[in-house]
Amino acid sequence: MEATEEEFSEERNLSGRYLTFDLGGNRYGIQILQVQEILGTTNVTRVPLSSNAIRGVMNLRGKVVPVLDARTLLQLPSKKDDERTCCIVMTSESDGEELVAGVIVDCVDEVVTFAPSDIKVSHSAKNQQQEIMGVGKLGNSIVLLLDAALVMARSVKRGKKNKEEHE
Amino acid sequence: VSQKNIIEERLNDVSMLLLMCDGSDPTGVEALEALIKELVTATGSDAESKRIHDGFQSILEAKKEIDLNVFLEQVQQGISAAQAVLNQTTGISFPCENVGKPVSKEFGENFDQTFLIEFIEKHSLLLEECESQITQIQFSVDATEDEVEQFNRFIKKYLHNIKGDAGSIGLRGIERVTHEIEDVLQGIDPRNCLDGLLTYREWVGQCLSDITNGNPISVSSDEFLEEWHTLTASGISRVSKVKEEVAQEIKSTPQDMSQVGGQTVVVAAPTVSTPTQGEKHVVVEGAWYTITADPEIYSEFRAEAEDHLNNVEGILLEKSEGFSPDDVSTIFRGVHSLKGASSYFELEEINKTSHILENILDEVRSGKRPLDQILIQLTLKYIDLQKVLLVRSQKAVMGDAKMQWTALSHELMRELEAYRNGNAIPAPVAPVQIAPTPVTSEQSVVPVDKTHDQKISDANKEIFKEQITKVADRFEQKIQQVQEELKVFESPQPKVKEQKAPPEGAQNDKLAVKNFVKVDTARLDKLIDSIGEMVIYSSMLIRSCRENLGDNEHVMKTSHQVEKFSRSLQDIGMSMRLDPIKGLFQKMQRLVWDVSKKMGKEITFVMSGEETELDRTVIEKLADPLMHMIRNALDHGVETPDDREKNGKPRGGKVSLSAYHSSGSVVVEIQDDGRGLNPEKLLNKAIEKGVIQPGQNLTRQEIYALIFAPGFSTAAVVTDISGRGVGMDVVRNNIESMRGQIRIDSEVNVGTTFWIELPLTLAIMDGIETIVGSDRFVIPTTAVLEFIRPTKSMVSTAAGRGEVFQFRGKFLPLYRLSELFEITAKGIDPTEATIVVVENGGEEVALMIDDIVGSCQTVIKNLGPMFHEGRGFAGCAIMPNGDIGLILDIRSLVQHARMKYVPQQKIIRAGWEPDEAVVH
Repeated sequence: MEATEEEFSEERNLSGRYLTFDLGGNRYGIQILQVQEILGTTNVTRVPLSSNAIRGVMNLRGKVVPVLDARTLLQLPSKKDDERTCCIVMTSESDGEELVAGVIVDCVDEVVTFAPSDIKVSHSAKNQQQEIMGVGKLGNSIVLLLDAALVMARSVKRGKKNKEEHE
Repeated sequence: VSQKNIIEERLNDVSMLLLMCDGSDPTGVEALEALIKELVTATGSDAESKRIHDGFQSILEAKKEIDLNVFLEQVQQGISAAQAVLNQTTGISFPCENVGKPVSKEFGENFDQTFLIEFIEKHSLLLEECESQITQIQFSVDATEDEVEQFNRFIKKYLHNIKGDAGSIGLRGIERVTHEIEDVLQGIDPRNCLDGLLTYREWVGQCLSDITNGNPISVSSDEFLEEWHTLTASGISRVSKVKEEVAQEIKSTPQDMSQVGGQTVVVAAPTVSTPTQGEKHVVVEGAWYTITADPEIYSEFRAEAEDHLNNVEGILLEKSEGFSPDDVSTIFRGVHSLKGASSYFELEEINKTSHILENILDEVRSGKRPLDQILIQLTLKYIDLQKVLLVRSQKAVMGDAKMQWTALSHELMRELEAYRNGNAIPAPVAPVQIAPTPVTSEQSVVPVDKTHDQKISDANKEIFKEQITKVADRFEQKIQQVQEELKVFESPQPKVKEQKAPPEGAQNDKLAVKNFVKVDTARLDKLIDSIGEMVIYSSMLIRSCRENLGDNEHVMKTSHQVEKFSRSLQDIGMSMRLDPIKGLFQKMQRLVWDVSKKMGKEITFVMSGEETELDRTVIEKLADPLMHMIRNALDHGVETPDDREKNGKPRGGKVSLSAYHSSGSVVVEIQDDGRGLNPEKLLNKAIEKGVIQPGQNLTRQEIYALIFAPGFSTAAVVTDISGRGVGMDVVRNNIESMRGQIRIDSEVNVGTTFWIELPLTLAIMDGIETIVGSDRFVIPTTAVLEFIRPTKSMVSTAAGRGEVFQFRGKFLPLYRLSELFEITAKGIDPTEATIVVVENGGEEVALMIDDIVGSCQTVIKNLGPMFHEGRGFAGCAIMPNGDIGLILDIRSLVQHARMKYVPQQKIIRAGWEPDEAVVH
């Protein structure tokens, strides 16, 4: 995940607090404001005939919440769940409606704060939005910053597209 | 000499000169113009003069562009309009008035958006009621005299109501039209003009929806009136007819007192007129004043003031007499704080009226005078007035509009003063405590039609007067009787609640208003959702309590209680979603009326079970299919009168619509006595259209079900009402999407019956919980026909068609849920599994599952936008153990299965070798 100066610029202000998590050896972060809660093991009901990136649905205190698989979303090889596997419940707003979805990650690390100088924004973010909206520098390592709202919005789009194709 | 006399004189001069004028004589016209100008300058500053001034001014302005003859005509019209204004008649307008102004003939200058909403809320109910009354009277051939009279009274009251309200908020178009129609109806039996009334009702509805949607009025009042008069044809000799018939009506039907009474009040019994003068919101002593307030603070004030008023009203109505000192001080405090707060907002009207009442109440408080019935009435009147004023001022605060003193305030102040000075009130004010709008009930009791004495020529007037004196005595008796009846409303009753319920006397009054609270439906849905959730969780809790603490008597007792309460909570929640099907049925009644007219068929339409309650969403979704089916019944079902006669049937056809409960669901039955479905014709048509293959053996039911096939229509002629062949399949889809079912039975020449079976609600579903591998799926009970543990001989593979299940002599496609959903099933041998035969749109399909868990009641939830709804699943539910169960959608599941199993594909299942069967 090497990045050159040309590829990143400070177009979007992405500074702030992030929840970081591990996924296939890389560190990722999502904005803390988009995190509702973190769950340990959850009982996910698989929904047949749905997209691969969706693990299924879970019962979150009476609410039916879809659960996404972060590895599938980011095209990483899948891995069996273990005791460190976590589900981050994310929220975002889309078309005035609140979207809530869980995303399964390898393990959750910590909450870190990025100053604007620590962040490089994805250049192509201007034209086409990307799930990885930038990278943050944390000591010697980097954290890939995931756009939770976009991830969820794309999943919804897939659901709709799926429907159109079906019809 | 008053201003009015001056204007009258000038008007006379103008009309004299007009007689001598001719369009070809410009000098004469010029003289006339000069005279009109003089008239215009002579007008004063009061409202009437102003109108006359404006009216003539606009005629003069328009003169430049028009032919002189037209001008003269307009002057003539102007004169009669001015005379009408002087005599306080409404409904006649000046020519050229409003030309070039943004307001049209449809809206008066006092047109007021804020009251419009109230108007629409009130009258949409009234309009519906009116329509149902009209259609009912149309269909009831054997209506008793009482019913007819009640209907006539209702219609007249209804028209009067609309006219008054429309006038007061400035819907001039509606007011004018209503006035005209009212006039026409005065002379004739409204039953002779039901069509006219229906079109009128439609027009008003259209106008209101145009206005609310911000569109221009699509059919102007003039256009409509013209159309209306041609439609009713009675419009031709309207005026003369009215003259004659009014006199005649009094002669022939003295029993219709409430109507005749309206006229007598003006002519012969002026003593009673006090309460009836109250034309709503008429501005008489219209002093202007402004309010300065922050809208937010004002809203708080208004809410508080309304609380106070309701509080005072409550005490007054509750007790009627025997008020304790505490009660009196509460009443006093309410009025007092209203006075105080209103002075802060400079609400003169509220302030002044409150002030006078407060003074009186202060005397009551200190024991100087009793709180007697008259004072109670005055206070109630005060409360009603304040409520109106609060609404008006709200608008003024929002929009910087000025406030103007209303006649009602003046009247009340006069009455209060008179009361305080010990003078008797001229006539007791009719109590209006129950009706939310103060004046309407007075209007309805004694409607005043001032226009009548105008319409009657001098000669007729004499006859009229004679008649009047004859009936006056009897009328006075009637008034007394009405007043007696009204006393029943106000007389003290021991129990508080009974009094608030609509009194018995109001039963005749079809407009009796139930008390409703407006709740956002989204909120209601949320509440019901939460209740459903709670029920599930409490049952989970109870289950684990029983398992772990079953020996603790206290826990068990409490858990029983909890269970009971959560069930009753669920019932309440459900009932909130339920609405009677009546509204929908009434729409159908209207449809039958329209269509039967259009097609020249004589139809008797019978409804029953309108009170049956159904989920609101179900009713909404049912509207389209039901309409379609009723149309079908009228168009294809019932024959023309001649055909019927030939077949030995009565000329008039009969269509009945009924709703009833049947084993947990609601059945809507549509029955006609028409020609019925002809199985042979259906079969031939189906073969011709390629829906079925020739030689296929179908049961009677299956043949009837063919009409639900897409693109299948049996009507020989395509009419504009139905018969485009897209009907019944859509009907069935709609009904099945509500988890309902539809059945048909028919006999040639006897008729056809449809049964639509619907769930009570869409929120809760009865299902069968099943297991496939480790997953749980819920199959809607309505879809399930049978569960079978098959023998080996029942399952076979048809060459190139996947697996087939032999069931009662039929071969059904067999789909393994485990394969469709890619789940590892317990076993692949069907003889160890369970087969569910499900029905999907009249077609049967077999599904293979591992096992059945049991039946369950579930609250249906959406899977959310990330899933494609309807792809195999209708939604999901939280099961009693807290897991999520997916609810199967048979229709889309079968679609998916068909795509998955492409013909010619052979699936090898290790360890399971079925017999090869040959299926055609």
